[in-house]
Amino acid sequence: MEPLSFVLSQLTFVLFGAPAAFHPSIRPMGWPARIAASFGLGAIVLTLEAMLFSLCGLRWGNRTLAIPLVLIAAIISWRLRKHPAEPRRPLRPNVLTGLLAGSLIAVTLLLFVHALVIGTATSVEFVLFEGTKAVRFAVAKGFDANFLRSPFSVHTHPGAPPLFPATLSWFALGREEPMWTWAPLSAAIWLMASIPLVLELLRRVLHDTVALTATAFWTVAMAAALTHAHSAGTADASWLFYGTVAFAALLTERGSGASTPLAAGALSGLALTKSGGVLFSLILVAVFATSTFIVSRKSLHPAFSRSVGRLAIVFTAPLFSAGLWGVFLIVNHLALRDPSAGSFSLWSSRWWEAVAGSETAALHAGTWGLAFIIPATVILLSVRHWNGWMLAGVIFVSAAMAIASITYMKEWTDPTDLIATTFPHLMQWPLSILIITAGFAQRRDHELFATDTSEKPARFQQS
Amino acid sequence: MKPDADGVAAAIWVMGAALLLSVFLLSEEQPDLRQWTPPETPVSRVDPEYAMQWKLLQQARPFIPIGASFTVRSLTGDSETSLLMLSQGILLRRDPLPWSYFGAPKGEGARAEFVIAQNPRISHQSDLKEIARLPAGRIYRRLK
Repeated sequence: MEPLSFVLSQLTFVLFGAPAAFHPSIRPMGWPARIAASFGLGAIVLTLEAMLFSLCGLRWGNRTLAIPLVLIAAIISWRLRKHPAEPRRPLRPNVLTGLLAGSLIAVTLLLFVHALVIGTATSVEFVLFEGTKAVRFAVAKGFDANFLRSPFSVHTHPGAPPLFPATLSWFALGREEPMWTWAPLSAAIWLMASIPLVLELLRRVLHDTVALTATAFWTVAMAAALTHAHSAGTADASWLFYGTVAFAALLTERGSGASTPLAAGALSGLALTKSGGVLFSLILVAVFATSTFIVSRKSLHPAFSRSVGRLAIVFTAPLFSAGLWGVFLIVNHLALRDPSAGSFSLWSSRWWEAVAGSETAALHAGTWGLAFIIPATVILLSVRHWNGWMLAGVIFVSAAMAIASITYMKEWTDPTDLIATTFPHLMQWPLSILIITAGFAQRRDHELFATDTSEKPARFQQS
Repeated sequence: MKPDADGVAAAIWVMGAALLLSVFLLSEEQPDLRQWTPPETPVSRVDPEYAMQWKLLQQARPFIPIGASFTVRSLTGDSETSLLMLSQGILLRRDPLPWSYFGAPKGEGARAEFVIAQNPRISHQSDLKEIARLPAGRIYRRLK
């Protein structure tokens, strides 16, 4: 019953984040997506509460952490359900194609869960620091500042945002040993939570059948990439969840503001998951501001400043989350900068061959690179329909690759091994964005998308 | 786009997904789907060296009392560092003191109450008493 116990412990996040399911902007989605949004929000609020407990010197316990969150969630959900929301549009894909896509998703998830259970997708980072932090926090009943401050804990990346180990600690409170066996299953939970949200967000702009098949492609590609990179037991899957939801929400709303709460929440989760969360949130927001500018200028639409204002609001969420963790670090005399981060040389072109060769090889992603090639081809073939929104995905993927390449080029020593071990992890989110951008490229009403930055929510009738 | 563009788009995605799944099944060493037993250690099926160290530390746990300090010894700085890292997650409520960390010798390990030696040849010290022989190493207790 231990695996079931672990899965149920993670699913309690749905209760903590219940208000997401009742928010007017999310209520028009299907129940799987509403539950998935609640799960993502639940992990965020649990982590923020755990930080407040540790800052106030309160010890964690399953009940002491859960009771306030459930009460607050119940009150907010009750109030939110009174707000009017658009009616849900039933999912009506072509039956045969839908069954085929559903079967592909089911088989992929079976293979992925199998790899997680038998431990062939587990990262050594899990036993070296992610899992270690989780059990140390569980034993200390708080973010163990003494452990993080130790000069012999540098390898655990003490300043890294704590969402992933905190979610594992939630299970490990009093149950450290089973955590080591079952925690890799969390990758499947995060991946499964992403699927209905990807589907619902793509449905905003695509026919149901196209959205479902694109979601099936996304699922197979991401499961293969996570397995191939040995991401189980690391924060990769949660990073992918938040990053994908944030991007897809901003892309498919096209500046209407309908997704501001969802995108803000997702970027908040991103900032709590890995050290680059705030930087990548800023890049994402900047990319969408640029896209809005391109679209607004083309149509002489006055919505640019309004859209940028909303993007600024979106960016306050990750700043707040990262800021609270920063306060914890400062109060406990912990370094804000990761002490294990290496020092870099100045820009050097001596590694360009190694970088180009190793990065290309690392784009395998468990599918001989086809997971990248197919959506990239779709985007290139849709070039006549490109607009500012389309460019957001292309620019972001290019920026992510450029940042990684520049970082590798500044290494003191040959980065070949470093690229082989890190690049497959770094490219998971850009791969996800590439697939969603390719899906967006197949939208039907290109003229409307070229100009629409109004307040009007995006709703498209099925033909 | 033509009226049947959605059908073409759906076909591209579904065939692409089927192709990815086929390639994924072929390119990875797919384990037997009838086998659903979790590994002996979290990394047994991805890193045999770490798995061996993990087992040594698990077997050593009953010999290191709660609250006691311990250090880890091995033949190389790398394996000594990984043993220390793993011990921080396995030997909870005990005090890990490094003999070395990222290859640099550390003095803290010399005052540890217990020594877990992955290779027994390295711990011939007169103030250590062997208290356990394990398949992958030995446990010593420091004499007062």
